[in-house]
Amino acid sequence: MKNDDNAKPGKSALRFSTHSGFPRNIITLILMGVAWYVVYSRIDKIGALIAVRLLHLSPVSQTGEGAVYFFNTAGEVLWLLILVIYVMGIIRSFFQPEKVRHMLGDRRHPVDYLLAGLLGVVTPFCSCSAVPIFLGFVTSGVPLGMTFSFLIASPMVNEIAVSLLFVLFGVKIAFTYVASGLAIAFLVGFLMDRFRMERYLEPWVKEFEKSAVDIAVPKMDFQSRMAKGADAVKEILGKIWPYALIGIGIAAVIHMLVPSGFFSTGFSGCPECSGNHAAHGTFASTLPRIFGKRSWESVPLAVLIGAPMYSNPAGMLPILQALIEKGAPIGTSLAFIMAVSGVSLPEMVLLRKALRPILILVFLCSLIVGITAVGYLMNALF
Amino acid sequence: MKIQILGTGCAKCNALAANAEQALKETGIKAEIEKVTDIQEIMKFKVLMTPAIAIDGKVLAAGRVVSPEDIGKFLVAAGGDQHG
Repeated sequence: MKNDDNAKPGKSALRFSTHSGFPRNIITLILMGVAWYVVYSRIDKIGALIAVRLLHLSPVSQTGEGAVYFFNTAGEVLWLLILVIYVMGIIRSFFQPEKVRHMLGDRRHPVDYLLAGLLGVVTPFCSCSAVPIFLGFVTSGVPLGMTFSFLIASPMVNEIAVSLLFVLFGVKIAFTYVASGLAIAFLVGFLMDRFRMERYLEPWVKEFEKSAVDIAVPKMDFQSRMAKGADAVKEILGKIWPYALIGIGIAAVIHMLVPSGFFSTGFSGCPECSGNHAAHGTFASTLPRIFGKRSWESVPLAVLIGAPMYSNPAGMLPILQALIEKGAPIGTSLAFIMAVSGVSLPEMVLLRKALRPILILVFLCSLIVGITAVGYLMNALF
Repeated sequence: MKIQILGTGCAKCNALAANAEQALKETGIKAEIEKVTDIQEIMKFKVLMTPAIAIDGKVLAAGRVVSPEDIGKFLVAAGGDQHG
């Protein structure tokens, strides 16, 4: 602190604020929070403002309605994401993988698998680090299943998907999604250790020298944690906003054009063709088949289609919401989104270096079974 | 001197390699850049996160794309000869 002051002799007035940095940051946070909320509570006016006042669309016309929906949803989604990503950025600055590995090192209680899942949600790492983290955990003594709990929860329960679920479907669905994601992570990890799946690690992993060099994690003051939050907003929102806007745009079009009840009534209820559905082409005849509530195979089918896909939940979820409003069942749709975000085939390919094929298969199958179960459950609940 | 970029080939790993090249250009330090993409080889460095950068076998940063300036500092600290 002393050195710092000497370095900037002209800024002695700032000395006060550097010494009492913490409360000042708290005040800044509270002010930002209030400002955020004031905007958020009015964000549903933005659609009418842009569509009607600026673009002079009639609010009762189909285009006008679509535009109002688009700007309202886009505004709310992006504004909420700013807050959520910022807060998660700050929270994540407390959890480095090295620290988490240390925390999980000697834990074996069933509840600890849930902890591992929760830590997976708040620990920052990009998908390309998943495999090094996996191996780093396993080779330093974290049980294999617990490592899987950590690894499964991380992409599945992500703040982007949860925020969008909250905006588009409400708090109940968002919460159910988080709970089921954690439940899958917990169960898969716990059962893997129960059945001693570590037998199927490649030999080199087991023989790996069990010492771990920890890269020094620099100590951070709260100010730099806040900077981390801002960085996260810049990086993540900067990456996903086009997906979100395109997704919401497509959703707006679906809202305008697709007849309501299209998916629930399937073939018979279509107002346009009185039974001759061949006229709609494959799109219309395939979608109700997959997302139609009546067919029992719809959930596993949606999961199997979603698993190899890699897509951004920010783009996917608005479209799904529009489909659900037209009668597609919510459990099927959410199972689909879970499979898209939670199952990564490139990751499996990389893991193959460390896991014998049977273990990869077990991992993949248990994810698919778990997600399918969640789909059925949510179809039954909502 | 040898710079190793550890990463299985993701976008961030490539960004880090590009930054290392730029750092060499900016500092005028001569060093060889090697990309380590094999996961088994990467694990020998004991890193948990990629991309990571090692100079002469010593890991200096992991899990972030280090800026060319910072890589330059690493290089100077590791005793790289600056030729103007």
